[in-house]
Amino acid sequence: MEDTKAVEFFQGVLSKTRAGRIRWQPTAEDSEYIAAIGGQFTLSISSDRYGFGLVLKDQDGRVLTAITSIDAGIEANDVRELYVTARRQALQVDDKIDQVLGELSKL
Amino acid sequence: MINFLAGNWGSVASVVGLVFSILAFVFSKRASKAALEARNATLLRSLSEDMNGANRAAGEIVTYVGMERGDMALLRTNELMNQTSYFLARWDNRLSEEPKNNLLSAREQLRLIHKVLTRGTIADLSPKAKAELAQACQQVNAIFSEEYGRAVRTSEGEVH
Repeated sequence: MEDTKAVEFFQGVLSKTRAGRIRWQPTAEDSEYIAAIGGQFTLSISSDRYGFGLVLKDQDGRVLTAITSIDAGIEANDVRELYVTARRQALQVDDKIDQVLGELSKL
Repeated sequence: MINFLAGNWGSVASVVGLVFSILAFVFSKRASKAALEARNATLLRSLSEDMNGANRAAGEIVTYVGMERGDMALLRTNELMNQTSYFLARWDNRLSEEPKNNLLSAREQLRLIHKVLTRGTIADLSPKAKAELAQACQQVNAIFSEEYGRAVRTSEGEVH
């Protein structure tokens, strides 16, 4: 059964991530990125052999909802896009590529 | 003058009483403001002491990870995770959104550092995994340094 609130939450995170409004950060785990929002919640997006997953936790560290690419109402490609975009932002891939392009232009 | 006072002693006493009441009100307001300021200053000093302790612990984690002392790093990570949860609860109404976000991020970072450290020894990690672990520890240290600085600045602002 589709959890409409969870789907709405996921779409909100995806849309704000696309807009670059969420400060994703790299972690000690290669395939996990985190962000804190509103002084009350943490988001984490991760990838493993089963797919991608987004987790929302409250201030006490309790899991409020967990969304995976196989959940009803969630497009697998959207979860993948969220992971890839969050990773790109956390690792500041675009800035670094710009830097490399700058270096390349000097060669 | 004496006749006037003798004839109107009741009214004069009322006026004098009113003046003293106003003065007492003004002084009690000032005393209560001073007490509130002293309380705030003490609380903020306590917040900066908490952040100073956390900053030291985070620095120790960086050092232990650098020395590949996973056991000690794990111990400190555990302590700091618990401390961070305590800070979030203790200072909930004193912290604004940004420091709270920083503390929430630090706790999540610590949780993942803990996960990596419990998986095996640091020496067994790949160079990439070691670098990611070291960077995450640095990130936690930077957060607590920033929060310590912010707490000191706020407490100094409150005292001056």
